Amino acid sequence: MAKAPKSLTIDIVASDGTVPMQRLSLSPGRYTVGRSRDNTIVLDAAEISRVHLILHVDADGIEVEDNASTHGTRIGDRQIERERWSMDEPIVLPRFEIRAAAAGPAAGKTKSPGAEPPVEKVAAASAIEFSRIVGIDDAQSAERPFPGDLFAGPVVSTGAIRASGCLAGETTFAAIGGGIGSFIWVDHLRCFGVPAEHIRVVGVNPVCYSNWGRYCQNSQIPPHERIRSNAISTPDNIWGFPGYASRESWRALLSGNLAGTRPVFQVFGEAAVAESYTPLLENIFSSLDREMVRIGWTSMLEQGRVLGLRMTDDGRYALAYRRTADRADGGRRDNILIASYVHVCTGYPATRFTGDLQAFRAAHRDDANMVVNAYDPHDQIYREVQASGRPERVMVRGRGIVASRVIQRLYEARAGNPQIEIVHQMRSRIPDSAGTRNGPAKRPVFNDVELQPFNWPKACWGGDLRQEIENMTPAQRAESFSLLGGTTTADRTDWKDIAINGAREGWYIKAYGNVDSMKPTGASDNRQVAITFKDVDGQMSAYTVDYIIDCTGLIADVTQSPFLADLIDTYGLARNPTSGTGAENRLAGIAVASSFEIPGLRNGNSRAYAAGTITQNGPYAAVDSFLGLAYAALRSVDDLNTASAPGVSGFGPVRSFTQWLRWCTGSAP
Amino acid sequence: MTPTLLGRWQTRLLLFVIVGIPVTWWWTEVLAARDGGRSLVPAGIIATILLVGLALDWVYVQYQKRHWDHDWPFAYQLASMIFEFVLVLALIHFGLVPWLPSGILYFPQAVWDATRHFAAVLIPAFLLLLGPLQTFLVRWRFKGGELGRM
Repeated sequence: MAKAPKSLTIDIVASDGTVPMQRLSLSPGRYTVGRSRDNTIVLDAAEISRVHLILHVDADGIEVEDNASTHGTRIGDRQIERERWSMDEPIVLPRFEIRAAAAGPAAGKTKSPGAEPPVEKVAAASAIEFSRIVGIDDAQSAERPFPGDLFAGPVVSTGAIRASGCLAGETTFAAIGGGIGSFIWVDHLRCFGVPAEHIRVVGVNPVCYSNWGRYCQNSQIPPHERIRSNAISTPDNIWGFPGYASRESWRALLSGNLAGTRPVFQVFGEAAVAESYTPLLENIFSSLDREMVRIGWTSMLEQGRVLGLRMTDDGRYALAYRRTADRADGGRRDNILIASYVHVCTGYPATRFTGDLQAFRAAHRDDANMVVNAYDPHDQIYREVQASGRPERVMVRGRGIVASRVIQRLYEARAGNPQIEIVHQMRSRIPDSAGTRNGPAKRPVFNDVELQPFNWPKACWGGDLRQEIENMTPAQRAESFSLLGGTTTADRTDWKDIAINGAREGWYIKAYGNVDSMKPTGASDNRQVAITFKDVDGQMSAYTVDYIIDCTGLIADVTQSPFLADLIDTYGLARNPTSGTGAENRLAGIAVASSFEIPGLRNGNSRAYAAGTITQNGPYAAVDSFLGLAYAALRSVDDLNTASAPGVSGFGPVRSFTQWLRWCTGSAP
Repeated sequence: MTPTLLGRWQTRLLLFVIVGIPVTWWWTEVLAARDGGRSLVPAGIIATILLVGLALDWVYVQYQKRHWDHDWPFAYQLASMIFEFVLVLALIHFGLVPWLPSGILYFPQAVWDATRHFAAVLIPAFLLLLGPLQTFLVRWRFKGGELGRM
């Protein structure tokens, strides 16, 4: 407080530029800085960790704490863990620097004299995906976090909400999350007859596939690659027709490319006589772009972070959210929306590191950047191993689809540096004869990995297995999920060839067992990790590697999300049982009915639904997929029709077909 | 496709009603114009294929269960439809269909007529299964081919 305000004003500057992108005045409090949208200061660059560092601001100044970030935090050229910042030297992060504010206007200093380039131009010039810096919360909200006492109990009065001055509006339907799951639900509502004016979506991203697209990008699936999905899993089309294979072939045919019509024949023969068809990532993005426009997504979207959900005393729901700064148009950021029907689909709360890797990162913070999660940004590893011109050994952990793709990416890097070796670590061997059995069926195995076209047996989406699982008790389901789930990859000839050729030529090595010891080693210019494994027979093996890429997945633990944890606590919501063990452990989602309603949240005639990974291990196995999200949306919107929710039709054959024709012509529903 | 037994039966009956019956009626008229008299043979053959198919559906489902995904690729669907037709012709030939005397297939022209009739049913029915059916029945693909609400 005693300090002059000037000394606590900071500039955020691109490393290779001098023009501040944002100038911020910090009042005492705690500020998180990172890539995740939940941070008080968001720095959107691939090398910035989710929560990269924390600024502790008090009357004496600023203390900087690195939050075990992948690439570390420096003050000047010193790597730091936690220390007070004199503000003489900049805080150096990958691609950004935080400096004490320079005198003069924020954008006053430019590299070249003359016209001042706009901030966006600086960002583009430094090749940073700099979408937004979310402004700092005012000190007031740190003392009285929104929604605070208003949401203290399980039921909030609408009178109190009005009196708080935070009421942003009342609506019939509200989708919480704003990702692809929310999108598919809203798309169903629109096709079933609900006008856009009666729907609100609350989510942090302007585009429904932002978050999912980032996972794809990080796990090394560029837009021109194919993803593990089905032709008829069409998040932009509720009927699944025409599928992506037909569309791709049709476009090829129109351009006179006969060879390009292969996808329809692939679908015709899959998986018995042809490799399963998989759609191109870029085609999914562009189809979603088109459908977002058709249903008026932007007009329904409230860009903000959801903070809490409560029942209201008049039998509805109150949804507290904080609008992102650039959408707050100078007005109130803290808002409450009242809705009669809500849909919760917030996705994965966090990325996961297996325990041993987490422990290594915590114990060896200077060397933590040698260990990364495949779902976090780690492009620099491929760039570095490709450019180094010396032997590089990368350990890939896990046997899922991401591990396959990461190995393929390393294989591609070998074109630039043939000295790259891949150590593929798995917990145990799986002999070819030991594939999981379900009745008379057996899952095929190749190279210690079980093969499955998608992440569940196909009949889990709409076949006999879907019916069987729905009719099971929760305990039976857990058992079934342990059997049918598990880590699998797709049967792709290119991936098999990499394993076969790599093993023959000696650059692809398999390591089995759990980690026995793990420590950093080597000179400062060539740090490595020495790692030993112990397999099930007690056999030890040792490797020295340059990087470890953990491909064992994302955390689906719903309690990691403060919003969901609060919801579960407040209403004592039931959870599903867990299933599986080790890295294959599937954590319990929120228990839902077959209609995907959350039973504990029923409020008078109003209903709340959930979908996606937060409902894991419930009545439907494949919740975490496009087609599974479509199924969940269909079940819940059908249920809304049964509950006589306004505007939701029964969607019989005639309405279905006329709506499909509207989709074909691109007309609004 | 991942059809269930009930789904196979319901979809088969649906296709029989919306494709099989109208096409057979039309084909009967075409033959009547040519031969000067309505024949019940096309109706008899298509009804026999329906009955044989309903029985074979059970076999198909057992076969699906032997595969990890319980999948039924489109290629299998097309092959099974053709197989059912050939099987019914064989049954008639060997006199195993009580209501269709084997004599109806003595002339090559009769086999050719039956083949054209079947093709006229098979092609639209198979094309409907490739996706267009879903544009009317949005829940069908999640119910293993069963009709109605979830």
